[in-house]
Amino acid sequence: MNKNDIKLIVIVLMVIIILFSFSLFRKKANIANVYFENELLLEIDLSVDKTYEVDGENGKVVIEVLNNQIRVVEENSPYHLCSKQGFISKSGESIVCLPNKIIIELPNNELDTEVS
Amino acid sequence: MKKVLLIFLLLLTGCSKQEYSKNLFYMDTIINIKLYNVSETKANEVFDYLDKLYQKYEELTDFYDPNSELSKLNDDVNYEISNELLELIKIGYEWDIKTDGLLNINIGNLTKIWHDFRENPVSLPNLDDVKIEHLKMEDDKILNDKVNIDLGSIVKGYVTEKAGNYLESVGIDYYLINAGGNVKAGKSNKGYYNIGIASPISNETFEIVKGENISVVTSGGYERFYEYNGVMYHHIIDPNTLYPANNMKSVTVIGKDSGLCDILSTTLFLMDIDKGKEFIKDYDVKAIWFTNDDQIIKSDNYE
Repeated sequence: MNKNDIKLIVIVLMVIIILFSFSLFRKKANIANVYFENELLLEIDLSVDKTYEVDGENGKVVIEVLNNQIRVVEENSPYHLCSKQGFISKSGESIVCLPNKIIIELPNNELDTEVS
Repeated sequence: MKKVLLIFLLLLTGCSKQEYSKNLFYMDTIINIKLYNVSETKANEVFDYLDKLYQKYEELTDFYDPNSELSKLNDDVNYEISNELLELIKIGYEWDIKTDGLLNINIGNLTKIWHDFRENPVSLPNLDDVKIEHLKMEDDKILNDKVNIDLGSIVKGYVTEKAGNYLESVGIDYYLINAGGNVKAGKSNKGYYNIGIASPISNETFEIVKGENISVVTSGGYERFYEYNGVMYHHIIDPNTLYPANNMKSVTVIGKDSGLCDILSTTLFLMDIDKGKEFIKDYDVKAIWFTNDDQIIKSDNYE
């Protein structure tokens, strides 16, 4: 093993550490992805309290972020299931506004999918 | 030495394999399909096929669409139906017998009353005039004079099983389909999928099923209850009481075949938990119940 080899090992280890810390960071990241059908509309930072408006199938869908939680506050649908659902905050949880085809997902590295 | 490191680096980058995800909107639910280790062209081709597959079965079986084949049969029992619809009806007939009439697909008249109540919950429906009949069949022929078939309890699992089988037939073994509470998982790059089961009271995961080449189906979940005068009602109707079933808050069935799991989860939802534990011993499945007093009960073979 010569000096170059050691350098290479150090570089590889650094790459591994960077990638690993990235994945750790992502687990804790407080981000919500908002989709219309298959199109990513918004990547929302949950640490900023703010209200967002997106266009769903039946018109305006209003999304609110408060204290690291996210919910739908207004939409046009027969049962208002997605606004009745209230806040979600844990990774892996999601809100689906079915008639509006709006999906809010909190990404989760531990779960691949969920039945409910 | 350099070679070893180079290979190692290649392996490292290889960990982030391509994943393609698509949402479809059919059968009153969202169907999410994820494909792994495929090219983009292949993924798009396959998504197109699956979109048409789910759409086709929605058009065949939509109880509330007067133009669906099923509605035409419900209007006129002599209407000539396709083999695809006939196969589903035969499965329903078979399970009516296997479950002593508990899983009765011929209660569309009753499920419609409760559906209308959910749409407009003014007063509890009057069920005095509701007659429950069971399907009668012989040699692929329906013998009843009139039918009221609602395939809601079996069609999602059935089509999802077809979807998974199609993917495998075109060489895509690594996939994950979630059709609104019906999960069918193929092979996984890490050897298993983590499939969460959401609590029916809080929407948080209370159990994680680890596995590949499996189906996981829940009946009675969080989003399918509705409240009227402080009482929680469900969309799964018990043909014996004529009321929404209330034996438990939810039940999840884990097995190989998504169609079977869907049928069994509805059946178990209609059954007393102890009876259900015995009932599933005839099938190669596991089950997990969330009771009315928020306890978790697992089938004897659950580990």
